Amino acid sequence: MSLIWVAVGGAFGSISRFQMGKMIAEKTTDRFPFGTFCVNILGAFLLGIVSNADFGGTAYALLGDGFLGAFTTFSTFMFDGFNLFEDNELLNAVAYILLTVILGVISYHLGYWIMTH
Amino acid sequence: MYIAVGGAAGAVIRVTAKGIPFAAPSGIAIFNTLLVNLIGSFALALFLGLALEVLNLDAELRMGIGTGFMGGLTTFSTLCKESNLLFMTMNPQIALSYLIGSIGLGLLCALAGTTVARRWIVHREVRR
Repeated sequence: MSLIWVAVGGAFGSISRFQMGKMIAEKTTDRFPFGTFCVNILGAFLLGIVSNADFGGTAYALLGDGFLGAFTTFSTFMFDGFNLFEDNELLNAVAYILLTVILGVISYHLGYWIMTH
Repeated sequence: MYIAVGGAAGAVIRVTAKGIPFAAPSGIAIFNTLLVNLIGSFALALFLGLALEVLNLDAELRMGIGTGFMGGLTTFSTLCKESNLLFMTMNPQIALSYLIGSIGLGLLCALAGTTVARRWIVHREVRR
C-alpha cells in the first residue's frame, strides 16, 4: 500500500522542513523568509533528482510524493508572501515570490539535467 | 511529534487528491495540485489567524496543524516539477499560466483566510 510510504515520507519531510527552516531562520534577522525559501529551492532540486532517477513506485511514493512533497510547502510560502505585502515590505515581497518561483523551476530543471546527462 | 503526524496526514490527503479526475493538460494533473495548494493557503491563513485568539491552542498543537498538516498538504516541489514538464512538452503558455495562477490565487487565498479570521474575531468581541 503506497499511501503508507507517503505517510512515512510526509512525516519526515515536515519535520525536516521545520528543523531546517528553524536553523536558517535563527541565523537571520531579515524580514526575507530565508528558511522557507531555502527549503523550497532545495526540495525542488531534489525532486528533479528523484523524479528522474530509476526508482520504483515505492521509493517515489516515499521520497517524491511523501518526503519532498511535504518538505516543500506552498501554504507557508503564500502566507509569508502575503504578510510581507501587508506590512508594506514591497521589495521583500516581490523579491521573495519571484525568486522562489524562478529559482524553484530552475532548480528542478538542474536536478533533471544532472540525472539525464 | 505533532508535526510528524500532521505532515503524514497532509501528504496522504494530497496524494489521494491526485485521484480526482480533473482535466490534465499534456497528461499533467495540475488542477489537483492547484486545488490542494489553494485550499491549504486559505486554511493556513485562517487557522493561524484564529489559533491564538479564538482556538486557544498550545504551541505544539498549533505547529502540528499549521506547520505539519497544512505544510504537508501543500507542496512547492510538485508545482516546479509540473511546470517543468509543461515547458518541456512545449506548453510554455500553460506552464506560465499555471505558475502565475498558483501565485496570484494563492495570495488571494491567504488574504481571504486572514480576512475571515479577523472578521470572526471582531464578531466575537462584539457579541461579548
